[in-house]
Amino acid sequence: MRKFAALLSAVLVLSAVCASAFYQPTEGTSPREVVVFAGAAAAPVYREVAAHFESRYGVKVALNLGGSGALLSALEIARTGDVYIPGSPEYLVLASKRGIVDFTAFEPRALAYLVPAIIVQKGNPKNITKLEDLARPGIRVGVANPEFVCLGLYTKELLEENGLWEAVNRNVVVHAESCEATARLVYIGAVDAVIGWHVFYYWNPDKADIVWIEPDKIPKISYIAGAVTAFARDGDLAVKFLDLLASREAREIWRRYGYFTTLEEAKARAPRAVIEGLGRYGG
Amino acid sequence: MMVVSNLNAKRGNFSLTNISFDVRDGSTLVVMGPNGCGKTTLLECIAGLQKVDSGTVIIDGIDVTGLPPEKRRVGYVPADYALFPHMTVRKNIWIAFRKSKGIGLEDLQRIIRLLRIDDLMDRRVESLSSGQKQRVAIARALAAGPSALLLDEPCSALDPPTREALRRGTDNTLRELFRELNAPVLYTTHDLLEATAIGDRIALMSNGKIEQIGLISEVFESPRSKFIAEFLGFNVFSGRVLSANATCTLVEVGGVVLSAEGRGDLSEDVKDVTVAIKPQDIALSLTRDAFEPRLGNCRCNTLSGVVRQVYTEGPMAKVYVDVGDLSLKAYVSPEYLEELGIKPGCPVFLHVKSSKIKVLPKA
Amino acid sequence: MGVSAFRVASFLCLAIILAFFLCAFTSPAAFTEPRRLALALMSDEIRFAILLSIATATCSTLVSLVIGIPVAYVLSRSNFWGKTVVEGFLDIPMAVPPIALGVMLLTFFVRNPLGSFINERIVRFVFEVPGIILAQFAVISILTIKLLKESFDGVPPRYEDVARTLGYSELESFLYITLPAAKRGILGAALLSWTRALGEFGATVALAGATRFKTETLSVAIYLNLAAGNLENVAALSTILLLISCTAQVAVRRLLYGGSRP
Repeated sequence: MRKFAALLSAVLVLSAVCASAFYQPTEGTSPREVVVFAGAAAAPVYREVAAHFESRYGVKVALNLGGSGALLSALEIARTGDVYIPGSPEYLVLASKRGIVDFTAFEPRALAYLVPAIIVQKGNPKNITKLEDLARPGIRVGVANPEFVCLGLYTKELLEENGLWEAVNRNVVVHAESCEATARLVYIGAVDAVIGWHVFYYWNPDKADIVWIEPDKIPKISYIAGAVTAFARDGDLAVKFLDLLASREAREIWRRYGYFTTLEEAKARAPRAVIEGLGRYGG
Repeated sequence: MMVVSNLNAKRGNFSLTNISFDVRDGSTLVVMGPNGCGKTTLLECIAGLQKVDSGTVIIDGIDVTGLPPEKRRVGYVPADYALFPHMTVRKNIWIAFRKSKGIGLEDLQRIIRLLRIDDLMDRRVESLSSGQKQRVAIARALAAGPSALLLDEPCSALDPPTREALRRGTDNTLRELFRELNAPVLYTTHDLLEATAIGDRIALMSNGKIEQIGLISEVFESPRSKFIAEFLGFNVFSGRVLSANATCTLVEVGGVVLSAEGRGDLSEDVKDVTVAIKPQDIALSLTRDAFEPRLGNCRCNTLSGVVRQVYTEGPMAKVYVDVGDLSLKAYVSPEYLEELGIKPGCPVFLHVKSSKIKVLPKA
Repeated sequence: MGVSAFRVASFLCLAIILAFFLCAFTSPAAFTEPRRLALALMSDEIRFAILLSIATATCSTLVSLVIGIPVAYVLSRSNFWGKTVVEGFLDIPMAVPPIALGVMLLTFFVRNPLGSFINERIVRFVFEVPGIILAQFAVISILTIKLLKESFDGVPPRYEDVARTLGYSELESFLYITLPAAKRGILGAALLSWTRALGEFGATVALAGATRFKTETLSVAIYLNLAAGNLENVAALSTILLLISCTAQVAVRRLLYGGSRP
């Protein structure tokens, strides 16, 4: 009996120790913190801005980076988090429909613009100069999965609008499962070209080259926008963070990583392009 | 006929050294020795399961030394029988029979009958008793039609009653079987009684070497080294030669002087020797001259001592007698014991013929 | 006290583990309904994914067994120079995250001259179904080998020795004596490897991509839906995967043990 009691108490003590490791103090007892769910693609930008934010306001920024869809699912299930910054506006619309973000606290505005482009291997060995070249026999093309990945949907629309979907599809050897995976295809050299966001080049300029698409051919461009969640603990702080991301100083950071920071810049590359609206909060 | 010549095999710290012997068809050579002396290694080398460094094994005129086990046709029965698991007896035997050469269905049926396993054929091997397993294992080895048979301590895994029957010779199965087989049989054990019951010749091994080899009766009668004498259960003492000539050797053992016939194998001026006396060769009596009329003219050693202990084991009684500093073991029949009323503490006289005193090299 | 404290504690641990996994597996139910499950099963894409998953898992398990059985035999029976090093080396792939393994393989077939030669001339692995099988194999083979070795270790070499004296060569002894004796262990290893291959995602997607109606397995489909934020589909597909796994477990156990326990 004594042995049993000893064993039981040992198990209880052990459980208590483990439990305390996971214990999160409730709000009000910890220093202020902003929890941000943001698309991994623009991670370097968020990290820099977060550092600035921390030094300016003395508030820690917890960055949760990942795929826009996965982050949305996490927010939906857990219902914690202060800011959501997906990689494209479609996700914000979805988030709003599901009651995850609140547009009234912060007018979502475009933080940076993304333009579709052809990303090729360094040195452009297959000498691709225009969209039609992707239909050339022998060219291996990779695209993001056109049903599940945002970039994929944009790619499909782009090719369909230009009557090239069938032709290029014959050269498509793989659907990638995410934006990053699409870019990776070129960096590793598994395909000759992908249709991706222009920033794919800037992420790794020594492993890829960019071939700008003829401006008139681009039907739609994307942008990164953020919003405050419906269950944010400190709405003010959340807004402050988003403000900082949209500020003049932040523009330098965005630019440095290759993003277009004004609509004009983006439109210069795609004059006829349409931008997905956010209800009455257009880009 | 199996001829082994100069077999050497090194296994880490242990090696078989210069093993040579031959076994004729129909003859059984028992290999005996303490645990670790190399019996199993020797058998495995002959079966081809272990490599030899030098030497040859010739079976029926064919040099099998370089051949893999499957080409040697040597039947092998390991100590734990190793019957193939999750199978019936029939399947085990069939597995052996399908690869057999020179043995027909009739021969197989005879083997099964001889080993009395006909009604076990459809039993699963896990459900058999140890005695049944032994017989199945032997049947399996024979079903392959081997030109020689090796058995590694085949009785060690048996339950006591079955083992006793084989030891005492009341169960003739194995002896009959080996005679019928008419092939060389190599049989290891460390039980003396079993050896006498089963085999014709015996080889005694120690530390990878054969110490002595010959007919069982010869070896048991005349051990050639201290180790063998001890192994066979002799009384063994260290002694000093007092005088020696062609007919008689006087040795002093623990304060007692004994006379031994002849000189044995000793060289000229050896002083330190081993003296061995078989317990069965010691006669006990209550009076000093009880045996003189019977033993007649022979030279005889008579010692006086006190009985320390008496153990009766079946048909044999062991009597431990203290003679001065020496402790001697004598075997007598329990009836004789009772007749004389020999008990612990009783003073007795021991009589040993000079011819029965073995003088051996020191070590 | 009739039952020892140790036994009680052991059952407690068992209860904890069962509860843990039950909680994990039943939570998707909160996000899905049977209707969605049925919808998913009627979709051509999903049906293709299910068949592809089962087919590739079966292939990679078979390949693992064909290569694994001889390897496990050698590791179990032989004592060769450098064996410890080889065994240690074979443990390493288990520590590599599957997605990293997949990227390594992709790089090999695309950048390495030998790899590109194989990929161009012999078998196309990159972004093709053989790539799925190879990726799964890369992830499960070590597990298979370890389990098989355990099974062979459990069959005393003595049986092979006896079989050889009966006239069977080393190969024959292995085939007719050792393999049947290790049958249960081998089937168990196969089942576990198959299940693991079914759930494989990281290496598969890196080497074979996530191409619809071509290299989209069930696990990849789950990921894609997660990436798109379709929680209901994720739950439905996960449930399908669990059901397939359960069915396989029950079916093989029935096969193995029939009616009687071993």
